[in-house]
Amino acid sequence: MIKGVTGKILWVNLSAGTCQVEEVPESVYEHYLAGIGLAAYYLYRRIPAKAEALGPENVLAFVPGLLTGTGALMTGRWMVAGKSPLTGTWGDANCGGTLAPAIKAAGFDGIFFSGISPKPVYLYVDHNRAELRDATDLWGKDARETETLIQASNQGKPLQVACIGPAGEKLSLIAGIVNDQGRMAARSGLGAVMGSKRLKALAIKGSHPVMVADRESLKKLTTGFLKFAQFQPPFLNGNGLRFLGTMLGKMPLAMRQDGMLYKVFLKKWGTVSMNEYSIQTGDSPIRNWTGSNLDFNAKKAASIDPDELLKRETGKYHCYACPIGCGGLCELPGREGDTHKPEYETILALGGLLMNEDVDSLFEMNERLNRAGLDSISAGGVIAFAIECFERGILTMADTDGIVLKWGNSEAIMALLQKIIDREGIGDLLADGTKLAAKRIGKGSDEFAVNAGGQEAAMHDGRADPGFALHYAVEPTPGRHTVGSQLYYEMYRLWKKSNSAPKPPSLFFSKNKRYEVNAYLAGMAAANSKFKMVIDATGLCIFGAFIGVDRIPVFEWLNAVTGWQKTPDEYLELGRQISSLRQAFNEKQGAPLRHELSPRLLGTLPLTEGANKGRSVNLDAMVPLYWGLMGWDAATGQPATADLVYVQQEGSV
Amino acid sequence: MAYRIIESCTGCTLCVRKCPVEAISGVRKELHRIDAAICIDCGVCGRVCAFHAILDPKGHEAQRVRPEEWQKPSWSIKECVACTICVDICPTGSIGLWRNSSQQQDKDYPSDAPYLANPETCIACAFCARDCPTGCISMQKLALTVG
Repeated sequence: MIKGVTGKILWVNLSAGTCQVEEVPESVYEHYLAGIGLAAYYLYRRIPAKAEALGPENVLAFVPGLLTGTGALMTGRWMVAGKSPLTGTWGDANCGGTLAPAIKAAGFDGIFFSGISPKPVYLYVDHNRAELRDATDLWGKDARETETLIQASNQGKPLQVACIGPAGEKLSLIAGIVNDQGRMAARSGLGAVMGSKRLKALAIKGSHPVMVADRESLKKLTTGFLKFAQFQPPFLNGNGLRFLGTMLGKMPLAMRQDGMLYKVFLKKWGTVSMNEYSIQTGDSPIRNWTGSNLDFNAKKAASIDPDELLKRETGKYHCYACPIGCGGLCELPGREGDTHKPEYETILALGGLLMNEDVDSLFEMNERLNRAGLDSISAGGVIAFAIECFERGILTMADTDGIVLKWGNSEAIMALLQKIIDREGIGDLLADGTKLAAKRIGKGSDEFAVNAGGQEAAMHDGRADPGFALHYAVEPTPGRHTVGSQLYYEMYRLWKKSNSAPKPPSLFFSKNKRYEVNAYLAGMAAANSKFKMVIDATGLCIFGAFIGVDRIPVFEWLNAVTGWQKTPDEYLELGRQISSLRQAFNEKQGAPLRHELSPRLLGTLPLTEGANKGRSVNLDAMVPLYWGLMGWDAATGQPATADLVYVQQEGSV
Repeated sequence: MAYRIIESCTGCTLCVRKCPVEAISGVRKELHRIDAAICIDCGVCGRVCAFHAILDPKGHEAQRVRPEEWQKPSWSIKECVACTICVDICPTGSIGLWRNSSQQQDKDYPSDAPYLANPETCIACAFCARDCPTGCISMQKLALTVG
């Protein structure tokens, strides 16, 4: 068996209440690495066609990465995967925190749940046992209370907990899964799958060492990477960042970005460093995707200046194995204990998207969402939808129980959010995302339900970077901002290691070039998709990948850990295989292979002012090029038969 | 690879109680046994056994060390990158984050940095020092070790 993996997965049959260890054949790792690849392999094989996402046939997988726990840095992400009830497609979500190393140290490369438990349970795993425990008393508790209560019953090494809050229990299709008091695997609605299975939590600890083929090389690589991770010159302040954004937004030329700069921002401020910069460059959607940086202007955005947010921080938060520590812990007036600092996505989804400049409300809503276990991106999207419906008379005070919904009215926004969390009144109608809400409301409201294949798009505007729009449409899980964009490609610097990844022609180039349809841009997107699967197979953090593959030695770490001698291109091919498998999953489930994007995401009617003035994206010519480069049918997006030979083999695995 | 117990075991149960992963089974006055599939090679059984009954993974007799002589982790905090790998690897949960400490906060010690929160439960396995990516942990005899 290769090193770096445990060679075992845990199957939990919730209907029968049993736990069973299964050996993973080495060939599975050779074809799909571990992490998301392992999940894709078993979910493709074990979830029957046209399965009900909230039914017993769906399988929910929790997987750490191949590099997790080996001593490679920034590799502590855990992935959850299953069929998404929100989009009907392959669903996955990714989270940092503390769960990933615990799964590995308990001796497993993944934990898979099938069936539905007759009563609320949680899974307890330690070095010596795996068992389902009664969670009747935990049902109804919020995510932070749940974690604290489970911890209180434990002695010795702390348990690492991932759980759902009331949103998942109430099957809200935008519910996520929470770890370490407020980190969340939020997307794809997989919290609802956990709720449908009556699985309240996983509580895991273990101390099994993870074997490494060449520890000396690994250490050397890690030491080399630390030089980049720790390079932290005193830098721009928040005002300077906004100014930089304004300049880059106004310039006719685009400049290739270097992720080292972003790394410096992340270490100092976290993801909120991008707040004003992104608004100014047109990356952040404003007022339900109809506004611009001129509407949510510098004066309004002053409240979310990164320096202002930094003042609230009482300490840095590091996920497992991360020297950067982009998270922050803050005090929250009126509540006891720490709160996780809201991330960029949350601040923009509940801020700019809703024209809300009340920063106290952002902190409070972030905490409520973390406790409820609800995705802040989708929550912001669905509130924006409701405000627009109200403004246009489609929803009235009779529908909202007297709440007057208005852009920027933080009290009304908070009141509506609470209703969504509680599934009360209008909240019940909105708690499953914009697409279903528009279907329930009718009256032409689908125009305001901005989503990609049923999932609210993240706070990155494809009109500013068409790479986002493309990935929102073609990834097996739609609407996701953590796969690729043209900006991400520049930061990944894959061309430094791979022969198949296209090299950017110049440092400066015309912005119009971003909107062209050509093999270079399609090749960029294909390389992003392949590499993201390597990232999710290894447990690497995307912010680590942004530092650039010539600085973060992910391919070299993989060789040192496993004992393989593969080239970066061979790893990218494995990434492609994983993506093919997820695409094949969608085909088997009868889900679309290309996802429909709301016209606003594409600028079908372009904005008339601001950073994205006149910008629109047409994907029709781009998608076939991308599919072709992924090795899929250029007309239909179906993966090649050859890609599926291994996964479709008969046998016990 | 795992530790083993040999015939000289008197069945005193000390190792059973000290093992952080419950890998050792055995009742009083009977030969104890280590489950190789669970053993993590921390070696605490050998450090506490007074009857020369523990063999290390290489088959050598493990040496008993008096608890007050046990070497425990100490951090060169300027080199620490707060990656928390040591916190996670510790099999007894003895390492915590400074921000959660009840001790008076030291402004030179970053709040996200690790420290030996429970010196009394530390079993001197040195996994933290072995896995630290910056090598900032050294194992030392603590001045006021309780053992």
